[in-house]
Amino acid sequence: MLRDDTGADTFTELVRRLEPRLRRALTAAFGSDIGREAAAEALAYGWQHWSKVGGMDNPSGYLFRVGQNKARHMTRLSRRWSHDQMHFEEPWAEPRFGPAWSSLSERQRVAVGLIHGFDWTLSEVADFLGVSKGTVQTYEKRALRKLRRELGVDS
Amino acid sequence: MSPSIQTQIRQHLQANDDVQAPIGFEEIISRLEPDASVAPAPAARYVRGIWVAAAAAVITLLLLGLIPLFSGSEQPRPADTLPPPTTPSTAASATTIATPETQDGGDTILTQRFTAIPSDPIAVEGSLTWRTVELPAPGQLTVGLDDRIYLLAEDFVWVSRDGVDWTGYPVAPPVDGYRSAIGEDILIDVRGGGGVGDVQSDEPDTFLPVTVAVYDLSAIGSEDGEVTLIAESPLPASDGDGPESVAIGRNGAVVATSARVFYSELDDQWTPVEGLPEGTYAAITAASDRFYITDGTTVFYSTDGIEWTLVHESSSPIRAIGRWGDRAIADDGEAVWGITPQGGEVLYTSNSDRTGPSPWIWQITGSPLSIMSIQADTGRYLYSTDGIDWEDMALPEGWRVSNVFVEDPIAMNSQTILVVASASEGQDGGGIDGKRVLMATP
Repeated sequence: MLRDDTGADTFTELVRRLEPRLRRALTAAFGSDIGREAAAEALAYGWQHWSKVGGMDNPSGYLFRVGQNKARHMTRLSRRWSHDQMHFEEPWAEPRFGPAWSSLSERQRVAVGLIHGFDWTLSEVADFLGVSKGTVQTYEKRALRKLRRELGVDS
Repeated sequence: MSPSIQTQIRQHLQANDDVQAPIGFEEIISRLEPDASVAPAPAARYVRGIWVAAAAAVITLLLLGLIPLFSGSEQPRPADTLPPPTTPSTAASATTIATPETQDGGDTILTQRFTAIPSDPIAVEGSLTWRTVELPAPGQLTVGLDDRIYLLAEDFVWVSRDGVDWTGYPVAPPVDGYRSAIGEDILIDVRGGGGVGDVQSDEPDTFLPVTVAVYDLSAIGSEDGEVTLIAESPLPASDGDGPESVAIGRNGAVVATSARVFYSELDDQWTPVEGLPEGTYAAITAASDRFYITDGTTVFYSTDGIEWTLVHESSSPIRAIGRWGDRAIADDGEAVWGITPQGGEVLYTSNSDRTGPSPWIWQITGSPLSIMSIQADTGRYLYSTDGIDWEDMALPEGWRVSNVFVEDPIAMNSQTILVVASASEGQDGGGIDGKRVLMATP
């Protein structure tokens, strides 16, 4: 479980260890602006409810779900999620990558983004999403298949 | 030759990560209700205000270098050394007095108490006396099968039997409240749905899943009660579906999206209902152990959410549906129907007075049973306790039901009717952050 991984006894310790994970996961799912905003809101929620969150086996997964709900709420308020919110404009960037990334489901983006973007293990992603490793693997495979199809890449 | 998909993913996400500023401790605590000092603060928000004050003290200490940021275990621990929230003082406004009381164990935020003191009568219309009252927090009002009034306010579920004394229970993940239902000690919150995409494009690039969260309310009522999450799962809905309506009965729950209807025995399994004619079933109601659902002209009935039987067909479009005891109430603009498994019976007819630009909003509950309907645009209302004799009156002058709250605008029991409304522009007593409501007592 991630509690072993984070080993967080204090909120500040949790922030130090969790912040990059939470921000990257939510950014992969919801784009740069909403993802970062949702991560900050989730951490603020964790601060307010630390006595409860700190005693959980998997505070990371819990705060991820809090962030997910915050992001979904923000997305609904803005009505649209934009792949333009990700930084896909670098000269080396494949112009079709943004739209292809947007076509993935929320969980597919989280799974494939964390595994291949930030070297998370299947177990870490499974804990974050609260699903089995097999389910994460399914998300990842489907996401890769869809990206390959959208971008016309074989490998 | 294009780089591999894995390489492209890494390049894109790492590039994004490189330009994204990390979230620091100071930014986190700066998000705790920066406007908390404005305000007659109700319990939940006031506690946040206490945290803000404590957090500000920590920031000061951090800036003075007295507490190192992200300290190790041998260092002082800011999060653990904050003073616990304390009981706030009484706050008053012109028409209501809030006297919140925090039921708090150390730094653990448990239940919250809130007492709203109604204003003096602002109008007496027919058999109802109207007052204003302030809710403990902005949120969605709804009423459960147990005739308790619930206020879904994101981090807290507030419960009241009279609209005056409220108890707030923390809930996590937070409740959206936009499409939700309460009954049988269960809260169901439906989220997501619809398309999202590039702001420059009319066509969505991707679709949000419709997710159903099921919470257990059975532990509320005690001092250390809490709302716990039982299940949270996506509906097997089609892309672009949006949640329309949800109802909880004794044997399960039904959720309608814009394209399909789903049934669950209150776990994480949602099964598409087969056999209903194609259409959008925007309204469901649960009355006792029965579900009623309408596609706008016909009403179907079910005891289990799986098998549905046609029980009523209207010649005019059905504008609203609600529950009244074990009956459904449907309003087709020409008549108000009381519907049972045996069919529909006319409760109220009118040639003209319910034709208007907006539908009438029906809420029926209470013991003894009461029926109330309000037209948002005009502020007129119908009121009956037996379905036979009706009062057709207007809300107090200047008040109009706010369109923001058409989802669950009214909650009522035998003593109290709460109407989420706002005063017209320029009138006194307008809505304050969605918290000011009208209260009527027979």
